[in-house]
Parts: sequence; C-alpha cells; structure tokens
Amino acid sequence: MKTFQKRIAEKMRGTEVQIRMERRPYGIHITMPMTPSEAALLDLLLRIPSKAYLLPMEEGIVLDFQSRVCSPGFLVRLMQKLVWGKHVRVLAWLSTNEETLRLFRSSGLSVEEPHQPLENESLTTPILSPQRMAEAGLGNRPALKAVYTSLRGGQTIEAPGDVLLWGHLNPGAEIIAGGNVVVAGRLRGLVHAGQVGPVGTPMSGEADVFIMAGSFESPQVRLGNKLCYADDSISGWRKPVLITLEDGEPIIRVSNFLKEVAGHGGRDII
Amino acid sequence: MGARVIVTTSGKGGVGKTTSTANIAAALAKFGQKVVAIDADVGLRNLDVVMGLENRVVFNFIDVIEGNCRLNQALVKDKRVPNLYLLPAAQTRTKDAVNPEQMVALCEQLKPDFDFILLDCPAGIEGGFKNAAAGADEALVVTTPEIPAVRDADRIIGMLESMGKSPIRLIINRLRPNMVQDGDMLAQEDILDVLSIPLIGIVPEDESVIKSANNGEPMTMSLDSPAAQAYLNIAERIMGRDVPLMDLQAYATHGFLRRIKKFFKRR
Repeated sequence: MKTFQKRIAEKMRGTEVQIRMERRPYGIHITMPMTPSEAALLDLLLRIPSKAYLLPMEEGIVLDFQSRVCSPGFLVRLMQKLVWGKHVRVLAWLSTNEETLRLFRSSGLSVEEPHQPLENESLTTPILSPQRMAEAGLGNRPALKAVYTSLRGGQTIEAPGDVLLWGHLNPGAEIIAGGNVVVAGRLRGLVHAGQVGPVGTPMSGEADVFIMAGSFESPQVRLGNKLCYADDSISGWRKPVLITLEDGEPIIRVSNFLKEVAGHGGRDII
Repeated sequence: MGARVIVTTSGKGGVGKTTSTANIAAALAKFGQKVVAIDADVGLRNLDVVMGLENRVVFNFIDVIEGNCRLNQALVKDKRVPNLYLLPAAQTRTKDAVNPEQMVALCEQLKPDFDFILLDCPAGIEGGFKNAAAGADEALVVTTPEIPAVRDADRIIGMLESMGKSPIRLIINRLRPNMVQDGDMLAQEDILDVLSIPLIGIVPEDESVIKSANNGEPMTMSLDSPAAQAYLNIAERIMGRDVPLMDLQAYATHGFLRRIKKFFKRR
C-alpha cells in the first residue's frame, strides 16, 4: 500500500497543492487541500488512479473537507464522478464548516469519522494484533491502544479495550476506554475506564477495571458506572496511583512505580 | 525568499494578542525589518487603535479580497517607524466575510514585499482563528499566568500542531514577579510544565501598556518600560538572535510596607 501511495504522490507532485491520503484502520482518510477551486479539486480527485480506491470489503474512504465550504453543486459532481463514477465506498464526509456539515447531514451522508478519534493516527499503535491476542489465549478482547504523546485540551482517545498513554493527559483532554487506562505522565484530564456501550452513556460500565497514573491531578475519574471526585486533600494527589473499584467503592493506592516516568520532581504544578 | 508569516494567538480573549502584535511589529521594524501587521479580527478590529493608525484607515483587507481596492491602497504606512505597515480588518463585517483560502492568497501576495507578516488572531477556536492561522507558517501563543488562559492556550497549541505550524513559541504576558514570589500566581515553570513548547519571552505586568494602548503608540517605539524591553527582546529572538531572558526579580519590590502587608496576609 505504501509503495502505491508513493506512486500516487509522485504522479501529483507537479501540482502546487496536494491531496493528503493517510492509511487508517477503516481504510483511507483523504484530506482536501484548502486553496484550490472546486473544479480544480474535483480534477485532483479524479486524477487519483482507480486502483487507489480498491480496498478490502469492510474498508472505505473518508473525505475530510476541513473548513472549506462545499457547495451543493460540487457535492452532486463528487457523487456523480467520484462516488458513483469510480464506485468508491465513502464511509464519512467530514467538515468543520457548519454550512457544509448541514449540507452533508441534509443529504443523508454520515458525518462521523469511523473509529478514529485522534488527529494523528501515526501516534497510535496497537501493540498486539487480534491474531496475536487470540494466540495468547486472550480471545476476542480488543487490542491495546498505545499513544506515545501527550494529549492536549480538546483531544480525545476512545477505544474499546485498554489504553496506554505514554505522556501527560492535560486538562480538557479525555480518554474513554472499554478496558483499563494507564497514563504514564500526569493525569489532569478526564479518564473513564470500563466504559460500556456507545459514548455518551457514561453511567454504563464495567467494574473490573483500573486506572493507573504517574501523577494523579484530576478532579474526576470514572470507573465503570462510578464517579470518583478528588482534590488536593486526598493522599494520592500529585502522586503515582492505582485506582480500582473494591466492593463498588473507588480505592486509590499510592505507589512510586511510575514516579520516574512522570518526571515529577517535587515542583508545584497546576 | 518571502516573508516569515507569524500568527499571534491565544484561545482566550484579553491576554494581550493585539498588544503583543503591535509591539513586536514595531520592534521588528525598529531593527530594520520590513513588517506588515494584519488585523485578522474581522468585526472587532483594534490593532489600528493600538498602533495609533485608526485615523488613516481607508480600506481594509476585506476590500482587497473582494477587489474593491488594490493591496497597496489598503496598506497603512506608519510614519513614525520606517518599514512598518498595517493592513486593517473591516469593522462592519463578520468573520464569515473571509475564508482560509483567501487569507492564504493574501499572505502569498504580501510575502515578496516584506520580511515579516504578523497576523493578529481573534480569540476563540472557530472560523476567525482558522482563517488567521491558515495563512501562517509559525505561531506565537500568548498566555497570562492564569489557569483558564493556560488551558485555552493548550487547546490552541493542539490545534496549531495538527495544522502543521512550526515553530510554535510561547509568550507569557502580564507576569507579576511579586505574586509569583508569594505563590499567588503561576510561575513560568508551571506554565511551561503544562504547555511544553519553547518560551520566547516573558512580559512583566506594566501600567505603561495601558498608557501606550490609549495613546496609540506601541511601547517599543520609545524604550522606557520593562514591558517595552521584553517585547524588543522577543523581536530579537524572532530574528534568531540569542538574547537572555530578563531578570524579572529586579521588578519585584521588597519594601517595608510590602513586608507588613505580607505579614498581615498570613494572619
């Protein structure tokens, strides 16, 4: 796939603007450039060889318009020439522009990115593939999602299984996981471990999970269907902790196992 | 080689984006660079007032985009400092009057004629921010030593990173060394600890900032305050010079009355 994408990039190198194509778990994420006119953009999309759209049965492409405006006429031409013309399976139509989003919704198109919460997919790596997990006797348990960077405010990780964040979770950032959550750095954002069911139903949950943090500084964590409030009066505040549910009650245990990772040198922090 | 395009942003309003843009632009011009400051805050323009050029605004960059005037007609030249120009925003329009592609095209049009293009970004993370940031290659994130401002700055930095802007550098504005000493204000280490981006300068709280904004004369045009010195240092660092950070402890007062006040505060 990489070689093929390279060839596409070479083919389009002569143009000033380029369409960015990224491999994602659901197929290919195509980011539209902001500058060209709609006619030029359509031309660019049609210059991508048909082979690029040949994907496995369950995969498809996601068209990300970012903040550019998509006119109804352009949407019709896209449908005629790209979607129907090249038999492309479009999983989602993404946009940050209100008007464009309204157009996509009113046209009955999906506007939610399938199973891809992070902006930079290359930062996330499943450590064990489902096949390896099956070999290890772990059945159909979802793969661990490991993220090797800090999450800033507004960024979110959603995963059906366990999550490892090898960095800090800043205020305003969220991790919502079906399994356990490990934040190697400072936990200042929101963590919900053991989330069951669709996101947005925070009170449903799996109780047999834990949250581990290099430095616990979050006013609230969620385990299964339990909310746990905290402040600087608790003994585990700004310390490496393991949080579990025992007899339905959240228990915070302090330990030094992740102190070095958190780099918490005793300085005052927010 | 074209101009370096730098957006000044923050997320939160009222932290000093416009003041920083005006003073850094004036400082860069003072160092001999040809600079244009663009007010990207359409509908709530202020950069012209802070730079003291509001009386000379005839056209704005929306007029340029819509073809009502030529670019040269909209540029306002500052007569006090050679090589300093302002491209004002429209006051009677909204942020929807422009889109990111048009901002990119406008910056491309300006690049050959300038050394630096500074974009004064509006507060928020919506269209106004995206328009301003689209045209820029680099970013200056302004924050004050307050938790809400730092949190908003963190959000903005995440968005700038995802847009591929680099370098993204931090200005800590309105720092009060006395309050930091007393533990009542976040110290620079605390802020850097959260934001994890390079610091380009710290501007101490200084009442001359208010005076200069009201007088319409950027402080860096006349060097007589700590904040002016801080902005000049930032401008030099933007130009790639190695300038040490100011000793802010020198601005912390240690008088007898302060010690008495501190004594009673502890009680």
